[in-house]
Amino acid sequence: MKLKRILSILSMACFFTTNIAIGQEDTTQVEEEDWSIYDNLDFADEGTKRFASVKIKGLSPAQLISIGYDYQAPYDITAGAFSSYQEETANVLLTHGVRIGADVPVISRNNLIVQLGGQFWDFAYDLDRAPGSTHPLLNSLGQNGLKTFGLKATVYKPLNEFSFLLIQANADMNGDYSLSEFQSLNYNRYSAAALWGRRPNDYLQWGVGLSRTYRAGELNYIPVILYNKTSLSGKWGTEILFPARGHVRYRVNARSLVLGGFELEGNSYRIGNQNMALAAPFDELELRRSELRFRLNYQRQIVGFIWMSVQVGYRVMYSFNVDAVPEGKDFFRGFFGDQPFAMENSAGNPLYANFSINLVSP
Amino acid sequence: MLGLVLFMAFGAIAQAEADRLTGVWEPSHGKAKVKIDKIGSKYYGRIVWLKEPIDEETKKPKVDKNNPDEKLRSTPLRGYRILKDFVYSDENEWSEGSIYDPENGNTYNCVIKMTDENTLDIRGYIGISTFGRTDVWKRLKMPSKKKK
Amino acid sequence: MDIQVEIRSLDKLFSAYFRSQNPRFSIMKLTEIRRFLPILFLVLVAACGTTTTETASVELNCEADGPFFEGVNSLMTNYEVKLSDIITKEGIDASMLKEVKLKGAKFVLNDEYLADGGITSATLQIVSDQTEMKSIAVKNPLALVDGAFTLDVSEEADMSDYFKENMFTLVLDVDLVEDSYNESLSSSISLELELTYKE
Repeated sequence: MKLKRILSILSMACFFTTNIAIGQEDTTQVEEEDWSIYDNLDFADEGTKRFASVKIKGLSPAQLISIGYDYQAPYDITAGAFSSYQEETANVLLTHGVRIGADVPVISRNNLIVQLGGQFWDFAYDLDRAPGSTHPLLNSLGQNGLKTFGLKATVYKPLNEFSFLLIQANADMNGDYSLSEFQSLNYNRYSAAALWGRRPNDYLQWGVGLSRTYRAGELNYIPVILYNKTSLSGKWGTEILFPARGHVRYRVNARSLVLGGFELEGNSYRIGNQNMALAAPFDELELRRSELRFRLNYQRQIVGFIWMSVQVGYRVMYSFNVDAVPEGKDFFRGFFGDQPFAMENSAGNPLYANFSINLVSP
Repeated sequence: MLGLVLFMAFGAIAQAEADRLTGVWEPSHGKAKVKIDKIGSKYYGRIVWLKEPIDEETKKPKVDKNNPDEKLRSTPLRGYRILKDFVYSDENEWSEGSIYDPENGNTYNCVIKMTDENTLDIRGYIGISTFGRTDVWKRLKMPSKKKK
Repeated sequence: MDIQVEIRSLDKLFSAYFRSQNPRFSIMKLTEIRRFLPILFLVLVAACGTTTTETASVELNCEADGPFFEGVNSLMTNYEVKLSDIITKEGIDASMLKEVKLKGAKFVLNDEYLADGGITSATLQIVSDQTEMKSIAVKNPLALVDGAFTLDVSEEADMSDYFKENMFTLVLDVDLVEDSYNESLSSSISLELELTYKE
């Protein structure tokens, strides 16, 4: 009886060990390659869809996290006359500040990409003013500088293998506030863009759309054009999102590249009347600041996915005027409006430099 | 003894589950086909077909020209193991592996999830899973082997 | 420097130091400290250690079962690591191994017909259970010289992790120009290694 039981257990063991031997088979020893059999295979499932990739070959790497420093050489600012204040000119010895950004893919699949991001930019103004200078704008810039704290969301939705939608929305808090005392959310500025595009092959991506933007300093609605192209050799290319930016790209090698072109950056900054120096109706002002930066940008891998970026260029002040914006309720002037500015200012155009360390996704 | 037999049985089942990863798969871009095999106890995927097998510049079969190691840049892409060192870690998941992108010579951490028998979520990431991208691969039907 | 001389020098140093710190330092305590000086010195020497580099050759045989089709075919072998067979110095174990570099790699196919124009490229990779797979040598296109193929070795790859384990697998991928109905294919591989270890 005992022997019978042992035999039955042993036979079961043999059955299972045989299965184990099959399960552990190293498949590479048995199946060898015949390249031709892979040419015309069908999917095991029906109806598999392909989607347009968000990238084309050769693009500069996307920055997931960026920490940088921006510097502008000396130039003059002329603050315009308004209310009881006379026009004043000051020499800006230094405009500089830290720039921190993050853009994280919270959903990243071949049929949908959703990215959430934020940025913090600080502009400190080191002014050399004439004795007895009292202009409130110069006071504010010199004492508080300007800050931007923004959040953004980007959605990339490929419709099929060749076309896609790109939508972005931004909320920015811009002003002369300090980090210990943020300004009211009523003064937030909102922008957005929506674009339809085509990706006919791995070397070209283009699109057209509309945007609501503050890049020119004040609210505007303008068309946008996307044009990313890479040459077949991979050496040359363009990265254009007009009118926000446009660059020609030269890829030195897999780990470094050079971009040359321009970027229009700007926003509307609340001048917070920090010292109650301004009485109504000049106690609710916004500085419409916009800069056109022409530059060369060198990007290089440091190690792994950490890259550095160095920009040198020429900064043209596109807009530096001030509007009265009661209760933060902005208005639309556009290209053809004739609402007068509360203050008409001007600023010189210096050389600038920007350096950053970035965690990238090539 | 019965415990040992049951243990071996479960081991066989687990092994068979892990081996479901083997086969030929196509990434979403459709420009390559990857065959996943097993070497020892780990899983590897090699490119077995390229939509554009010839390099436009050299007019020769594509090689790994972006490999960070200069000495390895002549390795042919067809036959290249881009998925490496995957271990079956959980239900329908293979992890501890890496995926190599010949387009830029970068290697990413990678985890593979089988969402169904014919679909893989291949997630390549940098450091933490948040900084990553998921690509969906579909299984291809292999014809029966024919001798010429 | 002679060990005895060194210990006497240390002895003088410690004596002078303690006397300067405390003139009334007990002669008894100084004697106790002196007793441990030789041991202390040997511990210091052991911690520093010396690094030695030597070269070695390893011969392996990779194989695969046929038939073989046009394209990449993998020949493999498991290699049981015995450092005593590779390193001439006795008593070197895995923990002392600092670096293992590949200085040269050659292989000879057992099929002369295939070897003569039948394969276009070859890649050599190493893998083990605990360590990820690494490419260590490649040649594309291959050139047959005196019946053997010489591969270009990766100067950056360090194989010490594999040699610290009991076993690793070598994978030789050969790209065949056309189908081959060989029942099996094997290749002898010669690896020239440079091993650095700490004694």
